[in-house]
Formats: sequence, C-alpha cells, structure tokens
Amino acid sequence: MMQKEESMIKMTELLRYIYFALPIHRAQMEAIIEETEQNNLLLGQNFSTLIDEIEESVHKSNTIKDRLLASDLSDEHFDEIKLMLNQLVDNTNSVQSSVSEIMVSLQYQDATKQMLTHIQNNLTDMGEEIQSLERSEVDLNDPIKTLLINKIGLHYTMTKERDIFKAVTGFDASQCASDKDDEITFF
Amino acid sequence: MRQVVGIAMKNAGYEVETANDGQDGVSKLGERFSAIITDLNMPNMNGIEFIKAIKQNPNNKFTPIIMLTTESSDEMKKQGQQAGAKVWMVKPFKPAQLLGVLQKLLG
Repeated sequence: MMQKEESMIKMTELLRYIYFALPIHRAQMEAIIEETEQNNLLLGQNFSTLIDEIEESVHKSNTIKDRLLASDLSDEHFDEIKLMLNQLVDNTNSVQSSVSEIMVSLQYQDATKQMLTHIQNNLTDMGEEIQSLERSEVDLNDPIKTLLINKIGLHYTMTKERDIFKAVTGFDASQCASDKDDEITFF
Repeated sequence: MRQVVGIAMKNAGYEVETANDGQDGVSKLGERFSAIITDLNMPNMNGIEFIKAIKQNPNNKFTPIIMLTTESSDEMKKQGQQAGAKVWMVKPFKPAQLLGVLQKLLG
C-alpha cells in the first residue's frame, strides 16, 4: 500500500514537472521560429537587393553594347569589346540564376516553422491533457494508438511530419492524408 | 516567400503586385489580375479566407488562384478547392514549376 502511494506521488510529481516544462519548450520553439524567420527575411532582402544590382549591371552592359554598335570604332577593337561585354552579360546572368536558386532554397524556413508550430500545438494539448488527467477526466483505458493518432498524428499536414510520426510510433498519422509533398493538384 | 515568387514572375516577364498578407491582398482587389498566387498560413487573414474574399470581388471573381503552401493534407486541399482555388501547389517549389502552372492556367 505504501509502495502504491509512493508511486502515485512520484507520478503526480512527474506530471507536474511535465506540465511546467511544456510552456518552456513552447517558448523556446517560438524563439527559434522568430529567429529563423527574421534571418530568413533579412537574407531574402539581401539577395533581392543583389538580384536588383545584377539586373542593373546587365542593363548597363547592354546599353554600352548598343552605344558601341552605333560608334565608329575599328572592327578589331569593336569585336574585342563586344566579346568582353557578351561575356560580362553571360556571367551576370549566371550569377543571377545562382542567387535565385539560393532564394528558392530559403523556403526551408517555411517548412521548419510549420513543423515547429505543430509541435508547439501538441505541447499545448499535452498540457491540457495533464490538467484533465489530474482532474481524472481522461479515459486511461483509451488505447495508446488512438490517443497518439488523435492527439498528435491528425494534426500533421506535411508528409515529412507524418513519416517521422510513423517511424517513431509505427502508426499511420492519417489515412486520408496525401502521400506526396511535391505534387501540384489542379482542381 | 513572396520575394522568391515575385522575382521568378518578374524574370519571366510578368508584371507583379505583392501583398503582405490576406488583408493587404484584399485591399488591392480594386485592380483586375490575370492570376493570384497565395499562401495558406498568413497573419491577419489566412489563404482560404482570402480566396473567399477574391471570389466575392467583381473584378477578380473569375481570376485563377494558385495556393502555394507547405500544407499537403487532403482535408486542406478540399477546403481550398471549395473556396475556389484552381491549383494547389506544395512548397518547396521551383520557379520553373510555378511558371509552368501559371502558363497552363493562362493558356
């Protein structure tokens, strides 16, 4: 009897610890989201400025080429300068394309934010579950699979999240969910 | 994100108007657009509400809408379709993909 009481006390302490730890983790995640969002925005702005400057360089090079075409330089000099300018245009176009690719890869922040938000929401749910458990409102006989799927799995909207859920629990997060992230759906 | 989309569209020769969120987007519906690209998760007004607002706007009632989002669940897609989205595109996207979709929509 003493042993059962002691283990109940330990369980209550554990639940209290989890209950108070959850908001800390939520706040840490919020800080991660904010920090990555700010940095992502800043990077995006920097790259955007860079692209504008490159575009201006291309425009200037083309203007110089046009003026050269209208000038009376010797054929030899003209061809040499024209070749150099064409190379400059090619180089700047290539740099612009690379910078655009970098900007596309910055989309990682969207996915990171989405995943962290889902974890945050789940931590909030867990806190509420613990509160109701203390008030004995939760059916402790509820099978863990149903509980995990209903409380966590069904909130996932990204394939990556559902894959991680399945790898850890062995359960399908949502039967009605799509299985491809890279798809384009025409309605 | 809208910078990436904006640059991709501008580089392809399209004239681009951007909005900070759904509410800002609604304030720009006085103009008639050839196509509208929106995210789902936005502050102030989400993508579904924004699409519903577009569909009530006389200038853009028939403007094709592309939903560009990280969300890929069938439930969300259904909501998007019911609201009036023409295409659901899951991020991360490649500019060429988006341009292909846009060209298909605009014929």
